[in-house]
Amino acid sequence: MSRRQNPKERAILLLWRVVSQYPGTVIGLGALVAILSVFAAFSFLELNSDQDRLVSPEVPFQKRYLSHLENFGDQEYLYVVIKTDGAREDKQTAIEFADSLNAHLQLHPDLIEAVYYRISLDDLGDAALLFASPEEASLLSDTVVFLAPHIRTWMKDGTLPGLFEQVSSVLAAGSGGKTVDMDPALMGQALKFLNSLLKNMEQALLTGDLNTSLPGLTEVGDQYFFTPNQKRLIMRLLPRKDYASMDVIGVPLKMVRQALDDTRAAFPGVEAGLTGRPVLQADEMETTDRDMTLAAIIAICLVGLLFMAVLHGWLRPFLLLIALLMAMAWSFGFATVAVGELNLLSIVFALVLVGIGVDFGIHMIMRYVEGVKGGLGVDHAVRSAMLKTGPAIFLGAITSVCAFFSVLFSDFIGLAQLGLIGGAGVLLCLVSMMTVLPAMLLVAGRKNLFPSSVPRITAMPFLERLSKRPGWTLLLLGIISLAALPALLKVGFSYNLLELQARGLESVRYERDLIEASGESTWYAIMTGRGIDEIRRLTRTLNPLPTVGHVESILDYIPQDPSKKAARYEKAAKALGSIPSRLPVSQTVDPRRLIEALSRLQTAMAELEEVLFAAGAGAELALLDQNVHVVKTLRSHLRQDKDSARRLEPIQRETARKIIPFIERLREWLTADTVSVNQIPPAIRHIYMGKDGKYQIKVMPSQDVWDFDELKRFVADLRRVDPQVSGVPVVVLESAKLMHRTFLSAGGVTLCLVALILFGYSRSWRYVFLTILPLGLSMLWLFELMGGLGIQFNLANFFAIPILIAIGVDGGVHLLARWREPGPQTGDKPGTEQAWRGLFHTSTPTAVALSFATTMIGFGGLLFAHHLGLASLGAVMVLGATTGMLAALLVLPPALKLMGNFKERRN
Amino acid sequence: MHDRKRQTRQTIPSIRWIKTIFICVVLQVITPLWTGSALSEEVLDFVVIQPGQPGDPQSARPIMEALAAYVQKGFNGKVQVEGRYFNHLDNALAFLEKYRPAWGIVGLGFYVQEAAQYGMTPIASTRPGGHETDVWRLVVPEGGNDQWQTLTGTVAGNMLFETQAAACLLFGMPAQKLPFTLTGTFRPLRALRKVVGGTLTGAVLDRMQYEAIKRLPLARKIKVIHTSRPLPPSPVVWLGSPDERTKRLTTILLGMKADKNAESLLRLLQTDGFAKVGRPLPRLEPDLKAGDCFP
Repeated sequence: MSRRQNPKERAILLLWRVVSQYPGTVIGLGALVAILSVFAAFSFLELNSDQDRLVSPEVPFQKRYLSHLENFGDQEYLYVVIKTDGAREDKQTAIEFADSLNAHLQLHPDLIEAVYYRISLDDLGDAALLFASPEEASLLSDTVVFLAPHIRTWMKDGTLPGLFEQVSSVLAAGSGGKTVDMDPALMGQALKFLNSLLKNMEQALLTGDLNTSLPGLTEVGDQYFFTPNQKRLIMRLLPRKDYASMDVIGVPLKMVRQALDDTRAAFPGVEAGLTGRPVLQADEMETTDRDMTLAAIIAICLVGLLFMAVLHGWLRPFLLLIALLMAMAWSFGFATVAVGELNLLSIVFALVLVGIGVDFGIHMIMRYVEGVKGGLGVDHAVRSAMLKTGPAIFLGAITSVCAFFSVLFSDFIGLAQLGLIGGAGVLLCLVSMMTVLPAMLLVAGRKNLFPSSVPRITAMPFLERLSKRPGWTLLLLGIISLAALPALLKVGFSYNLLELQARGLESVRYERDLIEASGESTWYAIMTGRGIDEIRRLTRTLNPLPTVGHVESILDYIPQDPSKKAARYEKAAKALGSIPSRLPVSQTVDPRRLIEALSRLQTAMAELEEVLFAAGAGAELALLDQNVHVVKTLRSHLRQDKDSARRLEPIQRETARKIIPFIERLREWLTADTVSVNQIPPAIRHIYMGKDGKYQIKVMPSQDVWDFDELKRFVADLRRVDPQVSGVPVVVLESAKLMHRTFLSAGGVTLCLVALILFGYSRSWRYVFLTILPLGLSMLWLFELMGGLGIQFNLANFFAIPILIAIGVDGGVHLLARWREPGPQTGDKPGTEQAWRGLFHTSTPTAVALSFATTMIGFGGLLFAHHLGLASLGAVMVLGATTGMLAALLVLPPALKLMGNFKERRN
Repeated sequence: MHDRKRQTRQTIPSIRWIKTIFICVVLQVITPLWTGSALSEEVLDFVVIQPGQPGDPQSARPIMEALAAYVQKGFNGKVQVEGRYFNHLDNALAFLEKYRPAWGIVGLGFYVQEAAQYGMTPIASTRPGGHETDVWRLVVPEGGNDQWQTLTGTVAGNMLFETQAAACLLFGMPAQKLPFTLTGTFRPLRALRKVVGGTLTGAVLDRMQYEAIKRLPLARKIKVIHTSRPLPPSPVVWLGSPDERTKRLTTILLGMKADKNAESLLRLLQTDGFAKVGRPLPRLEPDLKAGDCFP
């Protein structure tokens, strides 16, 4: 009399009928849906690599950050770090390096929106001179008063000889020490101007070519962004971002790196590198991409070899691969329809499907092989596989789906999407392995395409010997587990994202260098205030905090105590004010006067050379040396051909035209008495002033905030000042905590759901206990091993836990299902001593071992990853899969035997 | 009479009390005034002695005034500070004979040669160009002699005015034992050109000068044949016995690098801030035998 079938068995039977009657149609339909899915994914599935969209915009910290980005725009910079030893000439070389790199970057305004590494007087607007210190203001004022008579004298005729006469007087006074400030660096720009002018004159006289271009005089006094210890020059670059591409800043980054390489080649002695959050992210993306590819190749090769060895030949593994690929294609289709995009986390779902989805196929094929080896025909073997392994596969899939769906309601959108797509993918793998794979086995079997010999390794009878004394085995394992408990306490959680990065990456090296050499950070927190007074108040409160390095705000561009400085400049402005703003139009150049003036200039420059030499001002000395040589040439040429002086007339006019605006600008600077926000140049104002009129303060940490404890202290301090503080440090801190919480809750929810499902399936808590027992022990062993090996949990490898729970339960489900299954090889009475003995002669333990082995190998490739986060994920997965396999094969069989003995004694 | 006596007896304790109170009041009032006036009259003059450097005392006056004002501000205005600059050795020595300032910034050679004479104690160190040490190099024409021991003629440099000190620092032997003559110059670049032109045997360049010269075509025409060991840069010295003011002054000077307001002053002084004194500085002791350098 046949046993009454339950609905689950009836459903699988129905499925079998469809598959067995229409295998071609099933395969064709699966392939068609796969093709359509791939087409849809290619056409409509978008890639969103925006990290700011991984967390729900409704979460308060994220909402504040996004609103801040909207208000102030994206100000996430790339940082070029140029090393110096702090010495003057080394700093000068760094400046030259930065200027050269900037020149390269300015050729690509479409890729780099802005470069900040120096600030000139022009950048500061009309109030530029009010930023000087009182001493500087005093010196500058005296300098202008000193120069004014010379300028006035020259402006009476506006000629080149007149200019050189006055320059000679100034230089002679300078080298004689009669000027107020003979600082060589400030003199540099004036010398550059003189150098260009003299070279233009030389060119005009010797070749007749006319070049009237001259460098701007207002570049005098440029301030470069050196770190406080003067050992690093920092350039901030704002790249254009493309969120439709995986690497977001890939194209600008490539260009910047090329420009850096070119600049490095021109300055072989300078060490410089690129870092900053976008660069680290791009490098991380590139490294992980490379590592994943390598891991995938290793996994495919090794798993392929393993399958070929176990399943005998290539066709069965190939069919398994086809079924898996179809399921993955469907999953892409599902992602297109359900979500429409893949994010930085959900993009790894394919890897997860390989790890979990393939297991269903392994059990199906192993059972089919077992049937064939047992003498069944193709149809019977496939039917047996579907009907007898199907329920366990179904149960295993449902428990795996629980692990994914447990994060569905997380505020971490990236994880929630991964959960949805991954969970649906697991279900689609189940469908594929229960329909397409059996259909392909039928077609291939019916056409005798499989090799005539059957696989040799389908059972693991040696396990029976290991479990002959179940009590002793369990006791021994228990003692080992307890003895290793101290190692468990060593397992912690590291939030440091920098430690996950690949070693040796330039961006990582320079990020660390910036922290270690100068205490600077590329991260900063953001506070906002309604008005300048509030910004002042916040700045006053923030500055004394030990966790705050320094703050940047619009206040940096509003001079302090301007009235005193304005009073100092008044005298200078008066001196300049008497200068006529127009020059007499002087057309001719007097050759005799010019020769005489050049002679005086040469003498004055030779004297000045001694001063610069003593001061070690190499760059200025070199310029002056060139000037002396050019002056010699000019004098010699003019002596020989006095008429050639006519060629200098256009240069004379252009020189006057260049100097007059400078004097006018200087007069404007000297007469500015105060500055309001609206007078600050827009390019600077827009950095600190939002669309809503609020101002932002950028707060730089004083400590290494990649260290989570320091990060917590920094954010806690800032929150005491302003609970609404935002910025990358806050987002990183909160995101990490959210991710941690999500993983922990997902682990708990998964365990509960799995237990409930197992109970619903079996109506027996004993069954639930036995299924979860190997999982629990495998987790314990994993943590103990991690503690022993010094592996910490982090934000990358924590992801392994839900997967390990899923596959850990799966092993238990299959072994228990087989133990409970009546059949010729397992004895007529399920769950008895005979059934236990029979278990080791079936394909199930091998299939379970193979499942764990594929996971181990699949993720084992990650051990070779350069990205330390991925490598640690690989390590945890390999260890977890190993402990899972050992727990399933070493713990469950003795436990089942004890259970059987207990049942027999009771009966 | 008796009444008078009694009256006197009663009065004396009162007077005593009044005297005591008076003295206390006077002390309370006078002491701070006296102390204050003593501080405000405290003189903390300084001298900068850099033999061979360009400029003159007159041209350096604004810089000296700026440094004096900075130090005075550091003492909260409780001291009077005035600074003098000398680049001529004789003038500097003549000044020191007449007047002894509290502290000074002096060239290394000057310190080595005169420290014992004027009781100088190094309290800080300059950092010219950001370097913590200086190196002197003897250069000769590209095709010239490679061995300084066999050079003859004259070697010039702007740090060679204190000949004995310079010889000991650079060659480890007194000037009279050298086969050539050391001479100080105010025009080291011109001296270097003379070396290339063959009219001078060699020139001694300090680190800053050597770095600067590398940028000129002239650098290809010379070669270094001898390098000193790392030398301390010009020290800041206290003249006489150090006291509480010494510590305060040292703190002010060491803090200048971090002070944004001192930026331009440091630039004018051609030092990247001041640093603590490292190892003990060498000095020529007056009782050393002729022909010896340092103990």
